[in-house]
Order: sequence, then structure tokens, then C-alpha cells
Amino acid sequence: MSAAPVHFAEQQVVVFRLATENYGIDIFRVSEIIRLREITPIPGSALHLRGLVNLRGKTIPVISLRSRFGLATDEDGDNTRIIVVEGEHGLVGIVVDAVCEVLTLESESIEDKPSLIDDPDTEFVRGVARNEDRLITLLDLDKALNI
Amino acid sequence: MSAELDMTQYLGLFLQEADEQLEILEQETLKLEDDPTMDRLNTIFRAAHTLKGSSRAMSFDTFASVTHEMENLLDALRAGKIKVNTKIADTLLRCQDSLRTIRASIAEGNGDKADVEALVAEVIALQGEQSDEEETVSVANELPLDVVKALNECTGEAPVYKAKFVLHPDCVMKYVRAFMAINVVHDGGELLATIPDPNALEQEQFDFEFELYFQHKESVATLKTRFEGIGEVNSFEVETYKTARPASEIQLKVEESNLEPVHAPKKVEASQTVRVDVSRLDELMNLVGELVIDRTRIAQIGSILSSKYTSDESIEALGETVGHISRITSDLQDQLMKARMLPIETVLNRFPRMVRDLAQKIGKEVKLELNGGETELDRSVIEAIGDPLIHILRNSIDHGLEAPGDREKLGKPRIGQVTINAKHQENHIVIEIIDDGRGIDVSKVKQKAVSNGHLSQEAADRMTEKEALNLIFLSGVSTAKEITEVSGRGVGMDIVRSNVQKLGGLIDVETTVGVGSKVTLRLPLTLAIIRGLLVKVCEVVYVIPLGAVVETLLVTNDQIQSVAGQEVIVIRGSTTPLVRLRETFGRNIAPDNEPTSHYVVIVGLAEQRAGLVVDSLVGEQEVVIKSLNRFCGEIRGISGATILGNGNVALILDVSGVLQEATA
Repeated sequence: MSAAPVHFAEQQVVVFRLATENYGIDIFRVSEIIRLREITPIPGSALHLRGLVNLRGKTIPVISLRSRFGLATDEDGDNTRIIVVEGEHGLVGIVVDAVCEVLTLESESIEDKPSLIDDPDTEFVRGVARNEDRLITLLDLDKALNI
Repeated sequence: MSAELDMTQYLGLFLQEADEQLEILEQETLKLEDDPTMDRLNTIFRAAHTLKGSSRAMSFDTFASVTHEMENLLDALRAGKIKVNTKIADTLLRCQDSLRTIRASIAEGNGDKADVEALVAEVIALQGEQSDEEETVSVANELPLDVVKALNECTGEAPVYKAKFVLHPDCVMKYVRAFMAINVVHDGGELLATIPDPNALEQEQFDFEFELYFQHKESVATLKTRFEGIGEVNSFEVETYKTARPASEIQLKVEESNLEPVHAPKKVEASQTVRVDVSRLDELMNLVGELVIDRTRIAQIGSILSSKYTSDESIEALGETVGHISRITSDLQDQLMKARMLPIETVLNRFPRMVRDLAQKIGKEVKLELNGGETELDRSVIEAIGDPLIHILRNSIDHGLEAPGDREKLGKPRIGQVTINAKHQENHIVIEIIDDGRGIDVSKVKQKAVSNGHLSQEAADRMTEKEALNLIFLSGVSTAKEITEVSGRGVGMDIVRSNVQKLGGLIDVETTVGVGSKVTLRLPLTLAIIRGLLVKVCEVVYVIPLGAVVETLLVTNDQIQSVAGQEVIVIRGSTTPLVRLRETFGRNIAPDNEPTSHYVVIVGLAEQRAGLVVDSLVGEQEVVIKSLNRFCGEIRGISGATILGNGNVALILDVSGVLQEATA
């Protein structure tokens, strides 16, 4: 640990919570984090698409990550946030239970996706990071947004 | 490297200029045949000249060579050597086509390579053709191009003079006198040009006047004394044409004086303009759109606060400010809408050429009249109406108008008349396309629709004239006896109607057999902001474009009947299908207890009607249309989204989509 930190091997992630699990996404993909606001549902749209929200005059689609990850759909709470990220076709919001912190992860603390969970349902997992005694699932955002 | 960069920087400008000048060329050339005035020739010449200059500067040599020969041809026309005829107009138009092709090739980065040799040769051949008539158009105020060229090319310090001689009517040896004058010039000076040209002078092909342009080191007074020695001269005058100047400046000056005819039309008071990129206007429009939303929000918050704090004196001030902001925002919106407006001319001007080509191709004679070209409407609508209009126009000419011979037999004028009128009507633009052709035979339309399986014979028999006429909007119904390259496949009118409806417009046809047809389009002035009726379905607010709303009703359960499983209501004798939006928007939440009455919004496009059953009516509001995010894909029954006064997103109903489903 006395060696100088290798900068390019570090990465900063925004850590958020879904149910009891912690997830991380690359901070450079995060545009902003907003409080939950009225989401207008779109009839007949894709299952995980919760609807549209108004982001300063723009309408952006919002995805429920709980629904996307096959978790039970909870009621929205006080800590529920929408993380606005840059998707392939512009800004997209993702609904999460809570936003925890911004972490700098050393590359040696990141493990590639365990081969054990190599099935299509978890294709959006890029790797797992250990931070103190927590496990943080790092997301492949483009795959997670591909609904 | 840097030179390349520079070129790309100017390429955009060149392309833009090429577009503008080609537009002018085409418009004016089309008018040239009927109205070959000198002004018009000059305008066309100037456009060709500008194009030549800019293409040379960009070293697009093919482009330049075409424009150069056009210029020569036009100059021959201006000089009266040849006269305007259809062949020349055709060739000029084909030159423009060729230039447009080259321009497209340049725009795609393929340079200006094109095979123009044949065309250029043709243009050159035309230049040499002698006019049948001796009479030449007066060019009194114009200098022939060769003179201008000579004047341009002169260098040196000495001033340029113009000497004009009028010979005695009895003068027998005119050339001798001219020769003497020229000798005077050669003594200490250089002859640049003569009018008429030296050959004509030598053969005495001039009345009694000739002009010399020359450079001379002596003063006007000295020259005058020298010219006085020439006999049989009634009068002469010498004047300084141009004082000595650097050659480049002379060139500029002379060209200008050449190109601006002295009898130019009175200058229109030109308003000062700035070129603005369209995307910037669109961005500005978005911002104003947001402001409109905020204005509504502030007004709502204001009214909430004023009911809470009735006694607070700031509340009154707040109310005033809110009112003021509202007015300013409205004005801002209006002004910006105006800035985005274009005259409908920009579309209509494409038509004379198209009509000309089409008429030639199918052997008809057509006179196209355009009225109301100055009527302004939003860019977005302008872009969208071009194709539908072309379809209708082609139909009118190809199907509507009879062949010239047939028309004469029918006692109609040989030349068919097609008129396009555009005018404002309230918040809409109304465009009429009228032809004096054979009209539409409604019984044939019915037959065709029946044989195509669109409807049964009985249904056809029951139809009113008007209903039957609307059958032409069905796919595959065309009354043209044979399919031509132009039209007759019956795929035109249904596309036209669906395009018009997508714009929130209406289309209507009137016809009288043997007399002609009239197609009327009614379109909104803008697509960016609409008035909408806000309704609630399952606690979610939807916006129905007000333009499509016919009326709203409160309908009790016993008024709803069922025909073959389809719920309908009868309004004033006509049966209208009902659409329960709760079901369309598939949230499957049955209301707690079925109410005994329902709000029904009757929507209509053209002759189609449907009643939309909603939970409640919320109100009317101006909304800014935002397209659905690509992420969401195509959503059935929804055409876009907007943001309401309370900041929430609301979806906009796709009335034509819903209607199609309801009436299918």
C-alpha cells in the first residue's frame, strides 16, 4: 500500500442502493441526481419503462432498475432518487432506492464478473468491487439500459 | 493543409450562394419566355455571373464553364443578337439542372466532376443562332460585354475617355470619318473599344452615331480640338469615362455600372436582415417553450398564494408581475413564431418548373397561376406540405386536365388552367388547388372501390356524393384509365391525406364533372405549439389537440348502444363509434364503480368521427409539442409529449391513429 496510487487504474463510481444491494456506475456517465418527481406513465410501452419526467423543460424517459433487475417493486420512499445518466440516445433517468456516496475504487479491489453468474439475466454486471466489508456490483450501464 | 481548411470554410458559403442564385435563375428563366424584359435578362445574367465568379474562386472549373457559357448566351440575348424562345429557355433550365447536380456532387464531397461537354456545346451553338427577326431589343443603357471586357482589361495610368460622334446625314463615307477619329486616338493613346464593334464600323453597319472608348494621356480640351479637324461631323462630345485608377478598382466600377441597368425597377425598401441558422431559431423556440410552461406554473402558484395570503400586500404586486410576465412571454412567443415564418412561396416556387416539365412530358398545355405566395407559415409546416402539394398538383394535371385537342372539342380553352391559392384563415392556412379539367366521376370512383373490395355494392349505393368522393383517399382507388409514370397507381391520395392529417390539417375535395375539381387543404400555421384539451384517464392527464375536437358531451349509459360488438352513440342522427381510452391505454384498472354517465370527446378528421370516453375534462391549454424520446419507441395512440403548467409531463393523443383504429 506504500506504492504511489496508479491514477489510471482508479475509477470513481456513484454508489446507490436497490433493495439490500449496493451498485456502482461510472461517475462520468452520471449527469445529475434528482429527487423523485411525478413520472407520467406511457401506455403500452416497454415493461421497465416507468414513464417520462420533466427535466428543466425536457422530457426524459425513466427506467425502473428494480423492475429491470427482477427485484420486487417497492413503494417509492423518501430516499428514492432518479439518477440521470447519459444513454446512447440521450439522457435517461434510472430510479434507485437511495444514492449512497461517490467512491474511488482501486483497480486491485475490482474483480471481474464471477463466471458463476454468467447468465443473460445478469449481463449488465461488469464486475464486483470490495470496499471495506461491502460488496458493490458494478454495472455495465449500456446493457442495463437496454430494455 | 491550411489552404484546404480555408476551402472547407468557404464551401458552405459557396453552396448556400449556389442555392440562392440557382433559385433566382430558375424562377426568372421560367418567367422569361412569357415576359422577356431586359430587367429579367439582367437578373438572370447577374445570377449566372455571380455563380461563375464564386465557382472560379473555389476552382470548380466544370461549374464555372457551364455558367460561363450561360453568361455568353444571356449576353447574346441582352445584346438582342438572338431572341428568347422555348429552346433557349429549355437549355437554360437544363444548364440549371446540371449545375444543381454538380452542386449536389460538391456537397457530397465528390468535387465538381460532371459531363457537361454536350450541354456546353449546345449552349454555344445557341449563341450563334441568328434571330429570325431583325428587330433588336433596345440596349441603350447597356454596354456590350466585349466593351466592358476591354474596359476592364485596360491598364496604365491614363484616364479613359468616351467620345461620341454624330455624323452628318449626308455623309457618304462613314467609315472614313470614323477611321480619322480613331487615328486621332492612336496618336498618343490607345483605343479600347468601339460601339458598334470595329467590324461593324468598317462595314458601315451603323446609322450616324458611333462611340469610341479609349485611354489617352491628353486632356478633354486638347482632344476636342484634335477631333474638330474631322469633316462631315454634325456634333461630337468627349467626356472622361473613368479617371485613372488602379485597374482593379476600375474593373469593379465598370462591372457595376454594366450590371445595374439605369432603368432598374425602383429599389424596394430593403429591410435589414441577419442570417440566422435554423437550429438556433429552433433552440430559441425550445427556450421560449419552457418559458411558456413556467409562465403557466407561476400563474398557478400565484393564485395558490393569493388564496392563502389574501391580506398580504405583496400578493397584489405578485399578481401584477405575473400578469406582466404572461404578456411579455406571449409577445416573445409571437415574435419568435414570426421569425420562423416563411412565405409559402418557398414551396410554390418549385411548381412552375415542375408543371412545365410535366406538361411537356404528357403533351398537355397548362397555365399555372399562383396566388397568395406571400402568405406566411412556420418552417416546420412549409417543410411538410411540399410533397402533398406536389401529389395533388400532379393529379390535377395528369388526371384532371384533358388533352389540348379534347379540350377544344369540349369548347374549353386549349390551355388548361391550374390555380393555387393560399390565404390565412384565423389560425390556419388554407391552400386551394383548382383545375378546370374533367372533374371526378363519382360513380367511377364507387365502381373502382367496389371492384377493389373496399366496400360492398350496397354500401356504395347508399353513399352520398360527398362520402363517395372521399373514397379517392383510399389506397388503390384511382380513376385514371391507365397508369402513367406520373400518377394513376392510386397510392397518391391516401398518402396525401395521412400526411396532411399528421400535420393536424384537413383535406377536402369538391368536383363538378366536366368543369373541374378543387382540393382544399387547411393546415395549422405552426406545429410547435398547439392548443390542447386536457383530459384525465386513470388519473393521468392526456392532451387532445383542440383542432381535432368537434365537441364534448356528457353521455349517460343508456345512450350507449352496441353494434356488432362496437359501442356507439348516436349524435344528431349519425352513428359515432366510441373508444374507451381506459382500454386503449391498457392500464386495465376498472373504475371502482361504473359511473352512470361519461364524458365523451368527439374528435374528427375529415369525415371521420369518433367519441373518446374519458374520466374527466381538465381544461384547455396551449402546449409546446415535444417529440417522444427515441428510447420510448413508437407508442400506439400517442404522437408526442408536453409539459403542463404544474411541471408534469403529459402525453399528446395521436387523433388520426386513434381514429383509424376506431373506424377500421
